[in-house]
Amino acid sequence: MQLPDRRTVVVCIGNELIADDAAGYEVYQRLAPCPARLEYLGVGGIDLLALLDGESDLVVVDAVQLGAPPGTLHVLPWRDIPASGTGVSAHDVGVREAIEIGRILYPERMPDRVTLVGIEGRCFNMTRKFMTAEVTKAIDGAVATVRKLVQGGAHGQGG
Amino acid sequence: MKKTLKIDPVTRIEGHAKVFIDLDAAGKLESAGLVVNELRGFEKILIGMEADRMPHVTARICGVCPTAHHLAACNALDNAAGVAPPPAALLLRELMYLGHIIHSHSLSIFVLQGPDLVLGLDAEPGQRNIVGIVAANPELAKMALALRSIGQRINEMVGGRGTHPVTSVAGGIAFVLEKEKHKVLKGWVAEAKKLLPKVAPAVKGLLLKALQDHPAMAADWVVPSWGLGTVHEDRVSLIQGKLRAIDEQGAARAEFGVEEYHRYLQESVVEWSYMKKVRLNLDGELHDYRVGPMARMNVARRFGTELADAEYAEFCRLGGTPCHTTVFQTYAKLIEIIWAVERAEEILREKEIWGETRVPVRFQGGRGVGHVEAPRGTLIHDYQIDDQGIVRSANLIVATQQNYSIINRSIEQSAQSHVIDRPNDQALMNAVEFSIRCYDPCLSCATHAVGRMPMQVIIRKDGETVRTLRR
Repeated sequence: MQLPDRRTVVVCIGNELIADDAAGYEVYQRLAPCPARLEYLGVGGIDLLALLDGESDLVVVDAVQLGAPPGTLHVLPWRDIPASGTGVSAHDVGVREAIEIGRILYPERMPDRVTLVGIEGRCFNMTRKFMTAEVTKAIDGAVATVRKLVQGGAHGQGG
Repeated sequence: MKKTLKIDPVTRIEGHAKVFIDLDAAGKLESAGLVVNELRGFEKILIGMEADRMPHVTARICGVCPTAHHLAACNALDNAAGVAPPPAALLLRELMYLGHIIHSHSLSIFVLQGPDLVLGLDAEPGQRNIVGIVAANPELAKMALALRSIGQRINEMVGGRGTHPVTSVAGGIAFVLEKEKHKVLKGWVAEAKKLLPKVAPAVKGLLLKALQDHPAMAADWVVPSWGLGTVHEDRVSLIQGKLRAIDEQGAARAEFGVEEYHRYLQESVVEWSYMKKVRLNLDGELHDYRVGPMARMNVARRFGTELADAEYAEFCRLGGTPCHTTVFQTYAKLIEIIWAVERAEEILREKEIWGETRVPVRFQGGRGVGHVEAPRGTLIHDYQIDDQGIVRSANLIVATQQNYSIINRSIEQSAQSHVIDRPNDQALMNAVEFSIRCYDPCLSCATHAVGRMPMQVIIRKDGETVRTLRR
């Protein structure tokens, strides 16, 4: 049996009950078994920090609203992850803010490289069955992208 | 010449809101208020559901105070069925709730209000966020996050689930405490207690500094009003007890069981908002009143635990009794965190916690009213249940509705002292937002429709927009 890859942790974020926000949850469901440690968070924010345990690489999967057509897959290295409001999270704490806080408070547990796999969503005010068709179609692509990131190659050059 | 300033929406409160400030030609304040433009309609959604499900469904009203709804619903169902849950169930419910209070107040003080306290009201908005607070005071942030996390873990272990708990049911709680869990819980509470002597002076220091930097906070931002809170065994209590109303001087004017709330609390529609405001109706007169941490201690004046009562004495020395100074809400939350930790310790020492936790429940048809003290104030659930156990009508009264009149008066005051004749628009907006956040209004609970507007400040003269500010 292959040992889990301790260098990478994958955190999928999103409310499983809400249309396009469930994208992260769907990816989480389809990723197992995953060679890296796989975690799920209903709502992002500061709770992300509790899941980081000193891995060198973090891959965050979340629904995003960056103004692209729904279903667009964004693979963003740290420098391109925008401040707050990209993923759905409470109190203005997005992936960027959470990691910035983590780097101040718990530097020893923070990853060197952070990559956001964002699935562009459109519908965030309806229940799960109203997931946008384009987002539904994008899930498999997102899963494949995360697998590629986890299996060597990780974050590409200079991520 | 008329000038209107709109702050839209107020950031870092739950739900969405905008604020208007109307000035007359002379630059004097005409009126100010918080406009709530969302509609949830939860009371209608509940109709036709099985009463048994209320604790789980209503917990979903809010991700910030789910445990408050969870337990208010249980109290209402217990009353509807005419059952008294066993002592162990009450203790476990309370323990779950104390975890929730620790979690919620830590978030409220350090994350939602933190920027105002740590960075001051005049800081650049770009810094006034959680990353800014953490950078300014990392040691305090670490302790605050640790406390928050302990609260959350207690709530999760007793409530059976992370954010939205599931274990409390009509007639009690759906598990019996195991030795192993008891040990873990005790360890967490001990951990929290160790943090208190460091966290409390740090928060108090920030508060005193804020008062020094902004003398208007202590001198002018004072809103004398009636208060309402729950009292049990002559002390502050959160999930059981009678409601007591006090007047502006702190004299008790009424004490009643929650089933009588409709005699004392009167809801009315405000023409410019979707949120209904609630006032106390006593001796034929309507009184604006306050609920929440500060109101609770103004009403009960005692916690019954060592550290909380000592800190409360200090609170009275600095803020008076009853205290009506808006900014002291933060201090009140801190004292409730201290008390919650001590009370959790007490509960875990109770022998009764090991007993049976549930009695059978059957709904014969009838009404059930129940309440808890939510982090932000008194929360009432009122159900009409038929003989098949189906909810036929529901009424929920939440804290923010009851604080609504006082929030609006606080906005007027901060506008008066911090907005008018001051050219600094940023300080203006920060001050008004701050006075709203002291009440931590939870608009997603308090309202019923749909839609939000981009954040903007509109300044009008003579009905014409002369300037629009955006953040």
